[in-house]
Amino acid sequence: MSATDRARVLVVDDELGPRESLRMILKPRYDIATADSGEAALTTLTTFHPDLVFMDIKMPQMDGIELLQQIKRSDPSIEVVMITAYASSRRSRTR
Amino acid sequence: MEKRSAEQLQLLTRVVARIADEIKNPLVSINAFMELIGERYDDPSFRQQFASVVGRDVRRLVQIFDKLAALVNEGDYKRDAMDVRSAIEECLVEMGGQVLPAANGEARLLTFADESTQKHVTATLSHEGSSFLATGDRSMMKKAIAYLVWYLLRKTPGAEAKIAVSISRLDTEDRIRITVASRTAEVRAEELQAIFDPIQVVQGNLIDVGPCVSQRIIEAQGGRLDAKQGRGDVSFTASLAAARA
Repeated sequence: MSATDRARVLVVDDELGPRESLRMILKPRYDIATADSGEAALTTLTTFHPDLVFMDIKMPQMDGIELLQQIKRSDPSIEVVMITAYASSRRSRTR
Repeated sequence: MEKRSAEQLQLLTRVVARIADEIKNPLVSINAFMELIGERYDDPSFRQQFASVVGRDVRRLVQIFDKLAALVNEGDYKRDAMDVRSAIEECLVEMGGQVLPAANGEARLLTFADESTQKHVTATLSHEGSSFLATGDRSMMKKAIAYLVWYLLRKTPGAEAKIAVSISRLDTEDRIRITVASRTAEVRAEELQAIFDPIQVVQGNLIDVGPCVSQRIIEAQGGRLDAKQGRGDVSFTASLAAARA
């Protein structure tokens, strides 16, 4: 990323509300792309080249944990922030 | 005794956690909208696009509330004469269905983009017989059918969903049968077995509690609802006592 470029953020969430909320919050300062599944996120990675990925952990088909592994395998420099809102933190601890 | 109480408490905790999880997602966009509206009101995409997302989430919360209320309703429904065929057609139109020119015979073909599941839906509505009068609560009956359709849409992978609704009353029968089926929905056999158990379903996904609510509504009106997995389709069949014309 050059000094004049805006950072690029990819938001991945299967839920439209949280996905669009993050997009609205971040878009004044960053270039934003969104994806509604892990599979769509991997496709977007090839054209959008994000600096940072925000992703939900709990998604159908490919969940956030698997997506994290695939992103890091394809480009370890991409920073990933996992978002979860579980009523219990047991899952995040077990992972 | 203590063990049983502990198990019930654990179950209740899981159910409440599931409900909280389901309500949380729509609240995210509503909360973000409220926080941003002051500074972003002049942004057209905020007003138009995000407002539509928030509107959808508000309607989703209303649906969740409706389902939970119907689930605990003691069956205090109206007992009016209703034409089941027109009630179901009205239900599909209220879901957004646009009636296309008749496909064949008296079957109706409807298409719509479903807001809650983001699916493009093609629905057929057919009937066999002439009188579809039953005694019941028309508005609750429409909800019961809508929840079954939504369930099948949610269980459809991909963007295109097909729904077939048929109503029949054979001359020799005093019952009206309503079948809501989908060839695009995919439901695991074990999930279908427990589909009318609200405790089992609510732990998986509160939105999928719809068929339990449909069953309660239909049974409260003297009918019954069954689920079946056929070769290549998933179907719900409701049967209601026909009223004398």
